Amino acid sequence: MKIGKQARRDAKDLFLACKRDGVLDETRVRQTVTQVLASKPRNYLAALTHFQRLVELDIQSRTVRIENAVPTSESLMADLKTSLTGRYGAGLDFQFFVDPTLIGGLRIRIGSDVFDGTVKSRLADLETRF
Amino acid sequence: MSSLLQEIEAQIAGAKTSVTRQNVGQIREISDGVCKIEGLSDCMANEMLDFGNGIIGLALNLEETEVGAIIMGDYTSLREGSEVKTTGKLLSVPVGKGLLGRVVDVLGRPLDGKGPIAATAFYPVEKIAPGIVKRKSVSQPLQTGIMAVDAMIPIGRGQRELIIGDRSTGKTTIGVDTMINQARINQQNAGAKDFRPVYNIYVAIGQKQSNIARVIAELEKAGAMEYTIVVAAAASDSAADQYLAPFSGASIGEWSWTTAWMP
Repeated sequence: MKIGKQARRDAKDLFLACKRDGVLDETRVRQTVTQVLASKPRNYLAALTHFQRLVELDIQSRTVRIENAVPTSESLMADLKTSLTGRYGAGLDFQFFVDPTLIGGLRIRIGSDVFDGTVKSRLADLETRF
Repeated sequence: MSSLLQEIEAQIAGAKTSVTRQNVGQIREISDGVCKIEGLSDCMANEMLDFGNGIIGLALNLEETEVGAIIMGDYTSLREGSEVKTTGKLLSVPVGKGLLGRVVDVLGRPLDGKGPIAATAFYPVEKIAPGIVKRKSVSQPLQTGIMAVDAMIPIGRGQRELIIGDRSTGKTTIGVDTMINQARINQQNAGAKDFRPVYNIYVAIGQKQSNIARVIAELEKAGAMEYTIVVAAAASDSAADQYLAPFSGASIGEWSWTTAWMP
């Protein structure tokens, strides 16, 4: 679907209206979608498609994916949550995964930021240097 | 053997040991060397992007939710969903006297199989050139070696000259002849007091590789290659390479007059 400039602008306005104290409010998002679908303004499908994309990107930017070579301990989880919330603000969604191929260390991804302290990445770095 | 061990030790010491923040994104769509990347929230305009496996891209279009980039080199191995990293560096090319006599691609990587290039520094490709007031006026002739040109429409050092004409009328020949003539003058005056040699930068854009090889062979035969740098973006190279090749060649030249290379 081709999304025009006006539809993008409308979607952006709707998206900003759904924020409360800088954080996306899920209730407002649901209400917005319901109301737009009920009133059916001009180009509403294109605007809603872009709106969905903006919401998706916002959710991604608030999702923290933590990969560890071994199961993460409760204390480490708590430490990580505290330090990352202090750095990126409240409202983060933490997801923990175990990936033995990392060999050791942690890989944390928040939106487009990646903190990679895994043995696997260090070995890869060493390989490119050689 | 001890130097080898020291070398390995230095490389291991230089490898990253601390955790650093990286800005990454994923390719959303890719076609013909142009791609749209999702993520890369900290990407800068004209920043080099690392696509992995030595593939470099250039961020040209910064949008609200994505980044438009062109890819230099072979992009066929890249797929939707591939990871891209920012490098924090503007597009730059290696510069220095080590490039003389070499054939390089648009990023200054060697194409002639003569080993790595001993670059003095890196110089940005997109840099605002000094204005006309700062430049020295043209005061010294530059002989092409073609009597008709030198007599009727002489060219000066620091001057731009456009050679236009139909195909197969000898445009490249005029350029190559000038380079050979300048190399001859350089050789004759080598070591002379206050003599400033002329160095050539030949940028081949969209030519057949056989044509580029023929020009290089001619320059080598005449002994002009030691004063020449060849930047090649052949017809088989990507459109991005061909677009950036003249900027790359100009950067190599610009660096030479901003440093002590040419007093």
